[in-house]
Amino acid sequence: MENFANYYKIVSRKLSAYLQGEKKLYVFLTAIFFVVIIIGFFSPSLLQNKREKWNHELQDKLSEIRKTSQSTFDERQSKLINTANEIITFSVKNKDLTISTFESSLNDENFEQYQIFLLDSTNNEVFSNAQAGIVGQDVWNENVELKTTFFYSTPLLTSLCYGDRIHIQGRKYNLIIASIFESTYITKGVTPENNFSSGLENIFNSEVEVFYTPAKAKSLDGRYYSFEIPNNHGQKIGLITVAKPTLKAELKTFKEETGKTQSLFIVAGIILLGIILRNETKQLKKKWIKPILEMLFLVFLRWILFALKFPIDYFPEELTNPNYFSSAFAGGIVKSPMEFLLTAFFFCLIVFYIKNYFKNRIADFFETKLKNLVLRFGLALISIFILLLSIRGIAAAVKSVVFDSSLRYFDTADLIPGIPHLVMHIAIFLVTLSAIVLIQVVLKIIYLALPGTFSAKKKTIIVFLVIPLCAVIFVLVQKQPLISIMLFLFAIILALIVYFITEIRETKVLKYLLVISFASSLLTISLMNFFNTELEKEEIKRTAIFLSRSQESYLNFLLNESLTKIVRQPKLTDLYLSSSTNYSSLSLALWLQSSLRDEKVISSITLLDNRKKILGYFSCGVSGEQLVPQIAQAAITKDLQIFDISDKTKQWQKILCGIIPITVRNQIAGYAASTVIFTVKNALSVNSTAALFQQPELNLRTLSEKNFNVFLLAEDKIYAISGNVLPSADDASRLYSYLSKEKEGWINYEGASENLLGFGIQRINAGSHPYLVVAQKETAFSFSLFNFFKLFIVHSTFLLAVLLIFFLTRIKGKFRLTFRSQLLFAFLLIAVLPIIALAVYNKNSVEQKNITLIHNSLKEKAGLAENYFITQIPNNGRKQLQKVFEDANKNLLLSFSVFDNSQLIYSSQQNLYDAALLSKNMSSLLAAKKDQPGNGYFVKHFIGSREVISYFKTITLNNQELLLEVNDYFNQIPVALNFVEVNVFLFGVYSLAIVLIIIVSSLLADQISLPIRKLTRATSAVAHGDLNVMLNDNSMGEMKELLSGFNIMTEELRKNQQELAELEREQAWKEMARQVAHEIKNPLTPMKLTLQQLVAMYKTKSKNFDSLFEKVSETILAQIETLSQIASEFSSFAKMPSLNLTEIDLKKSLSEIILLFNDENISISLNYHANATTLMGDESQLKRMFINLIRNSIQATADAVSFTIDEDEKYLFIKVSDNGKGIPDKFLHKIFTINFTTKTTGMGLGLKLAKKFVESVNGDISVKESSSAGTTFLIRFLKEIGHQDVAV
Amino acid sequence: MKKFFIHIKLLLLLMSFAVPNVIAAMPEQDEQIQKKDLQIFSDIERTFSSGNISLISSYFPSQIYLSLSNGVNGFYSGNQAYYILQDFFQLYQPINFKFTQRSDTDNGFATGIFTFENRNKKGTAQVFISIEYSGAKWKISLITIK
Repeated sequence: MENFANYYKIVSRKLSAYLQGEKKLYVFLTAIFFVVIIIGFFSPSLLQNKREKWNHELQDKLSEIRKTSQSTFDERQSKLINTANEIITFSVKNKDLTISTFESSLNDENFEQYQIFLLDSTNNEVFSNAQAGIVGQDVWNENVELKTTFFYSTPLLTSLCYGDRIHIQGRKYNLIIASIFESTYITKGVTPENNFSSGLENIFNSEVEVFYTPAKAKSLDGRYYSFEIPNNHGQKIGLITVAKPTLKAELKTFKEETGKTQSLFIVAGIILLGIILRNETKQLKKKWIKPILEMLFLVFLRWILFALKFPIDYFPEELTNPNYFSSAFAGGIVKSPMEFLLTAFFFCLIVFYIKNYFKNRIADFFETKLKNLVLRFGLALISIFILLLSIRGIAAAVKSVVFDSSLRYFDTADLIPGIPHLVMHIAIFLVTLSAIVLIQVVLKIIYLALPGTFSAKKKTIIVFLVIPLCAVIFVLVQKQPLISIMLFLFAIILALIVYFITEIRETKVLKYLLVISFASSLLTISLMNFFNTELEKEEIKRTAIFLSRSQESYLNFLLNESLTKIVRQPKLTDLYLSSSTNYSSLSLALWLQSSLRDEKVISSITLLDNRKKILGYFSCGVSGEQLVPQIAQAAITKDLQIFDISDKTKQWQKILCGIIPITVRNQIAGYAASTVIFTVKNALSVNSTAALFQQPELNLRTLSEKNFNVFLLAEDKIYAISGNVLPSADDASRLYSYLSKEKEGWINYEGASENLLGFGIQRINAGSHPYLVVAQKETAFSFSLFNFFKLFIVHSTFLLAVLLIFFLTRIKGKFRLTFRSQLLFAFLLIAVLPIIALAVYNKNSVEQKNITLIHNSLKEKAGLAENYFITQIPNNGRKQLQKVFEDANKNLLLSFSVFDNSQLIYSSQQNLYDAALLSKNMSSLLAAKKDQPGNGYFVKHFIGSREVISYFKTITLNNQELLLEVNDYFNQIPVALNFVEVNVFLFGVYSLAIVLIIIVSSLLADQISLPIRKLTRATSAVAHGDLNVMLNDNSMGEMKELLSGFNIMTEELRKNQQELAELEREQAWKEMARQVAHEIKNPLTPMKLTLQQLVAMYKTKSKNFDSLFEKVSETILAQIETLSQIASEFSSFAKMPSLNLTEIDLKKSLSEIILLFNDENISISLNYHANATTLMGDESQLKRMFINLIRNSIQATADAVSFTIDEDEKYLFIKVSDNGKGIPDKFLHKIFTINFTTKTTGMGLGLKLAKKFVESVNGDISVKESSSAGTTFLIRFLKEIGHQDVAV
Repeated sequence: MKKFFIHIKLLLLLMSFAVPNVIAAMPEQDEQIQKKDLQIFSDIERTFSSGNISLISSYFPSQIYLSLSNGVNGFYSGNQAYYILQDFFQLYQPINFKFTQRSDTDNGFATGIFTFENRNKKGTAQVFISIEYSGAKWKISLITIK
């Protein structure tokens, strides 16, 4: 075991050593490469294996299907039983429970997805939360076995039910709880897409039929697999039939999955290779190839992702559905919202890449390479053309987003629209933002291409005049300009303003992003609004063309298709023959499953018996006599027959009726009939009954629902079909003569108060009125604030989210709250909090007012109806009441229902009650309201997909107490602003305010904190030894005093430092002299004594002179040697301090130095073109050298200094250029010598010390050029040095 | 530099693996339908038999009404219609198409039976196509597949 642990440690150590640095990329790449090969290699054999073992696998799959179906059912069944037990436990625990408190506790959202019925001992409904027309009594009558689940079906719904007993206040009640398994329409919490059978179809990707009856026998068709659904007691309650999986489909799925997996690895491999190549391109000699290769790689990667459908295959369908958006651009690379977003993201990456690459190179290019004025002018012209094309490009992209999309961007029902809308908004926002960034690069080229001798002001004026002028010419020369001149100019001016804010006044990244995004948002919204208006005009034309066509063939097709499909419905026969079937409900179910529900026609479905007697019907606007007209009643119908029953005098109306027999065992058991009516008026509006079955938030582009004015035009008369703004006789005559000549075209005419724009077209099979005109008020096409805010909310939310993420990613390690940030947060807090509070208050207030308005209006309508009844009812029986109610409906144009003892006796929407969409018994709905004071109350409930407010009022007619109901759905109540409008205006205005506050707060915080930031930097400069720093500021008050104080302090420090240095120097010289004297004296004394002795010996002619001479010479030589040593030691003592070698981050050090001069009147730029970022050296000496050079430049009256860093294989080159007065030629050879200076202050040591430092690390420094236009120093450092390279 | 070219070669190699997947992802082309035939009905018939939308995309006007059995319903631009129908035919793979009625008047139309395969099962749908002659060109103004 120990050996194994050791072995494991060794292997993991070796592996981790191998996976270090770049090596690991190669390892991963190789692994991916092999995986792709292995998948490709083994796929055919796996397929073959699948084929051979298919029979066995099929059995496993069928078993799996059964198991999965059962577990899906069991899960829902368990939840239902648990909920029932929860309710019963609750009733047992709460002894004081009353029906009323029980009811309110069941209104909890936990029970929302269940239909709960409480029945008394006689099975009368005491309470129900069911809102879909199911009656508890009917469910109980299905012979409920207690504590046993069973299915209960109506033609519209099927539910799994569970019954049990419950005791409340000692009384026994029957409890039924039901969970909807199948629904034919959308209602609260239920959609057909969530049906049990649909769920299974999605799991198995196969056709699934679920029969919710124990009587259904298994399918004998070998292509299907049937199995029973057992309930909680193991009894059969239903049957599931699934189309068996086929080998062909399995193999196809397998291939697709293999392809997907391979695609995943290929994409990973390509990305990895891209990273490796990126590292290698750094070593390319021609630097310009690198960005081109990298951009090409991004383009290539995007194409590969598109071609392999990666990661599109992994996104939900609503994001990849071309139904929402698809454009033919670049071969379909933007063929769905998600593809568009991905492409926009890549475009954004490429653009920011271009921006960063050109950021510093453009100025360098113009400074060093392009000095020829003609070439500069040519480049500027080309750039202007590119700029104009870019704006046209943005417009084209936005046009495609509006025209190639079925999404209505300005008509969404919610404040924040659905996911496809959001994706589209973000994508187009990114495209515009990228284009604006690109335009900024182009503008920089134009700006810098202007002669350098021009002042900044002059350049600005030229740019502001010339580019808009070019834009006007550009739009005028186009045959079909995409956008108007004004909009084009707006885009240009916006781009210029952004350029001058971000480029001229150098901005920080966060502020740059904010300004660019705000401009992008403004431009995107303006363009989208413009093209939306164009689309609306296009809709007028499209509507005119659509309405002018004969609809007969299409209506014929609709009837044919709908009726044929109805009689082929597999469940129709069972339901049709069942004695308990509600035929009106069945008719509605059939209508919901037919094509008729999606069409803009009035339609009905009627079921008849074999003697053509009506059993039931559902009508969406078709009147009684048109349901089955006499001609259809009289016809001998053996097959589908269609009759045209149109009134020939009404040319704008077409009515067709079809009838088809329903056969059971080759015998005609009855008939299904359908009537469809096409009228221009109905084609222009949504039928309120049909709308009950649509998603409320559905806002795809369908036939316009706007208030169009439609009329037919003959030579001398007009026939109005829709709207009431018609042309005058003169106008009509003018329009007629125009259309007679042109056959179709755009027209204008004057209404009562404003102009109308319309499209006229010759009608097919025209009759007496040959032309049809569709027109709308011109104001409908103008820019509206609502539209602006509608989109701006989305943009600002996205923008703020991005800024927040950006801000959070910038916080590294410990969060440092600067003075400016503190100010910014304080401003935002003060400004935003009241705004949010105000927005919420206003929203609630307006919503409350709207609800009050609806309530009052419903009360008023109920009062109106009641008064009508009272004045119209003579003291007669119920028969007469029905007549009065019908008259009230017609005369007051009021929709209402009347209940007697909670049972429906009349409704203007009888159709919906008959079809069991609404319950005829209102007792359960009203139970909770009984205790409320007064004789009227409001109830919120669902009719189909719509939540409605109903007002119930007790009225007395013929001494009989009745309940009158009016609701806000069938009686449209106009409110000044609906909820969406309120939200859009409130949150739109406030989101704009927040964005502006952020921008203004940021500017203010900048302004206020500027002196503090200056002071901080100046203090830092002083800390680095730069005492020449001076602060100039226009601050007032204490700030001025603080800055002046600082200036005085540094001035004093400088003076003191100079004096101190002088004193120190003097002291040092004195000390030195003393030491030198002392040290020299020591050897001199013995030298003097021995020499004196030698002289004395010589004078006395001593015979020992020779030996003494030799001795004395040795002594003197020894003392001279001592003197030499003393001299060397002093020389060593005076040397430069030793170097502290470290790895210096050159870019960082230079940036820090530049920061020190931020508040001085000098602009310092850094052009870093080298890949190497570090060098070995002494950082403090390096910084001191650069500070000295900049300080020299300032003293040479320069206002700009640039650092340009280049490299070759061995060296890093730092070019320091200024635009000062230069160094006179006569001094050039002296500048690196000690004590040389042309300045009144200074010791002439700076450049000498710089040279000494650079040479100490084997580099060199020289003056590259110097003239009256400035000076350039060139410093060369070794990229890598060893300690042997350092001069000690 | 040598290393750089080796990696470029590697990239090309990886791309060569991508190619079969790319081809698999693209819509299948029926060789038989490459012949040029200007008859609108003939093109419609071949499109509904093969699923190749390119054959009829030239007949799409700026706005076309689509009503399909997968829930698509409304006006769409020609570009959108192309991809919507392409998606539709990937879901309901065409087996056969037969016209039941054709009318080539200025306000013409055609109906037919479309046979397809979806979720392991053959099925049929009724098709209604409305065409119009405008600007010396035939245009398809409406396609309904139910």
